[in-house]
Amino acid sequence: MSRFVVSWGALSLATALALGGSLAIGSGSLDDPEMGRTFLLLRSYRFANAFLAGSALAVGGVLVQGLFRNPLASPSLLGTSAGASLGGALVLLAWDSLLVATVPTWFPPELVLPFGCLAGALVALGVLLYVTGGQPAIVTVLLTGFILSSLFLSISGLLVSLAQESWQLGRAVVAFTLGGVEAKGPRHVALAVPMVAAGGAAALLWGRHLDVLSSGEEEASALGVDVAQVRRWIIVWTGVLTAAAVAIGGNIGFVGLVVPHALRPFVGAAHGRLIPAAAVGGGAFVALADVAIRALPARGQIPLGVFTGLVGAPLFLRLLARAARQGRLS
Amino acid sequence: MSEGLRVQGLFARHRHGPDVVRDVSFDAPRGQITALLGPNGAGKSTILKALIGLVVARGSMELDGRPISAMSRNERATRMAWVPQRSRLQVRLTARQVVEHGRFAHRPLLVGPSRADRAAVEGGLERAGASEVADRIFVELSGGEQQRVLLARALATGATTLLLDEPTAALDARQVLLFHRALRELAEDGHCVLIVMHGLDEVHRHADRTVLLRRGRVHRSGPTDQVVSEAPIREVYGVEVRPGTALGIRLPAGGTR
Repeated sequence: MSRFVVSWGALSLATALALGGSLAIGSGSLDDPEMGRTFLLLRSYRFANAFLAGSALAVGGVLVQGLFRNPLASPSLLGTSAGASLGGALVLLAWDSLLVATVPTWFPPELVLPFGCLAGALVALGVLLYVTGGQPAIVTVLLTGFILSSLFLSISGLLVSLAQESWQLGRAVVAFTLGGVEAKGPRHVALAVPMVAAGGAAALLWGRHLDVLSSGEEEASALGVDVAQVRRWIIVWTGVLTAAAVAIGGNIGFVGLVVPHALRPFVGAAHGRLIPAAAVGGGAFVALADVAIRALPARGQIPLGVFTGLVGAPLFLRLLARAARQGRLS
Repeated sequence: MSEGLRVQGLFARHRHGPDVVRDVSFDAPRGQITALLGPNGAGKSTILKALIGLVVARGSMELDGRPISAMSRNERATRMAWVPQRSRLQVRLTARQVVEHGRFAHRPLLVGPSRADRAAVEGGLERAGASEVADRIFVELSGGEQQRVLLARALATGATTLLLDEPTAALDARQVLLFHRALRELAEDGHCVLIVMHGLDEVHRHADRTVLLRRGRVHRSGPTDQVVSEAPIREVYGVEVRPGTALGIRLPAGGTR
């Protein structure tokens, strides 16, 4: 049996486990004659949101790794997720102070959130590209991403403080910036599905360009790739995917780093195979992480990013150490 | 209409730098191997990059009588192929996958590889003598094997003009001879081969025509025998040519790849 078949078998199994776990585990009993159906429905939305957020982040990770030709890149490490998160928080504040009076009351604020996230993600990626000049030197890219993340998180912190003026708004902004897929419903799923589907399809479309780009910009250009155009579109679609993920799940770190890294040895580095596998693998990873935090005995809800960080940070350090030993950091 | 490459009054520079190629003119006819020769910094690689649009260039560059500047990105990529000194590829792709990149400009966006694409890939691997390593991981291959794969990728583009940048720099003596044999066969089939080389012996042995460059300008160009000779070499390199001192190495009769 080929590695490819085995890996898709494992991905299917992981997705089935995540779905089963998501539906079965949680507070409240499914045997309850009155509430059982409701619990099941809420948990299925939660699973769908976790899966979509994971898919989007993993595919976004594949895209930025292809763009920077650097396996250490991911939306959270490049500051894209933090930018999206800041954009979302800004939109919530603007909604409360400016927009709420001008739009119909039935219009849910969730609908504008992804646009704020998208704007924030695109600004973050734009600044990153501007500062690094599109050069894939690992240290420059990671340092810039780290500084951008810190900057965006600081501004988000400031916004949270300002939002405390209004209890309701403060609660909304805090809940959003902390992230998590709990209490996310069908509206969030309906918002994220087209963004993730469009982002995934676009990723597949541009995958062939990224394959050729893996040999460097000069070789790719000589082979007929319009490198500037590829860069522009990869930025846009990474922005869309990260915005979708942040809008429904907040800042869930390291998914875009861990999932492509774990899949490449099994499905290969060609984007045509890696992107679909990352979409499913990322979804299963975050959904399983969401099951894990529900299964752990804790008084309050453990943030989803805590779990992904516990898996992702050691892996990142290992990759960084390997790159340093091979002299690939300069 | 001239067949092959014709360069006239070429100036070229990197994006933010001064001109490193100044008023360069030469012909690289089809069916022959033309070498670009010169000391470090003479502008050899920059000329190749100017031809494929990687540096800022002005002047006249024609391929088979057609201005290269009038060609679309795709047309250029299917008519001229560049073989770099070494690939910057870092990810684990098989040699065949790398060669498949040569078909990029031929494939419409949403369409998978056609029968013609597959035939071109296999044909490129075969002609470059890289079929045996096709399923191995490119970054794990030896320098010589990698260079053959890059030549296979260039051939898979379907281009009949090959621009090679010191392709033999990291190869051992046997690999150099094998590589040049493959290039000679291609030239005999009507390819236009323009190749940057460092070694005077290598140029003397393998190139039909030579463009000798010095500080970005053409010092002498023409048939190799006339260019790689005592006076021009002394003027450009400051060394004496001693005829008959090179090792006469060759592949054994019926030598295999």
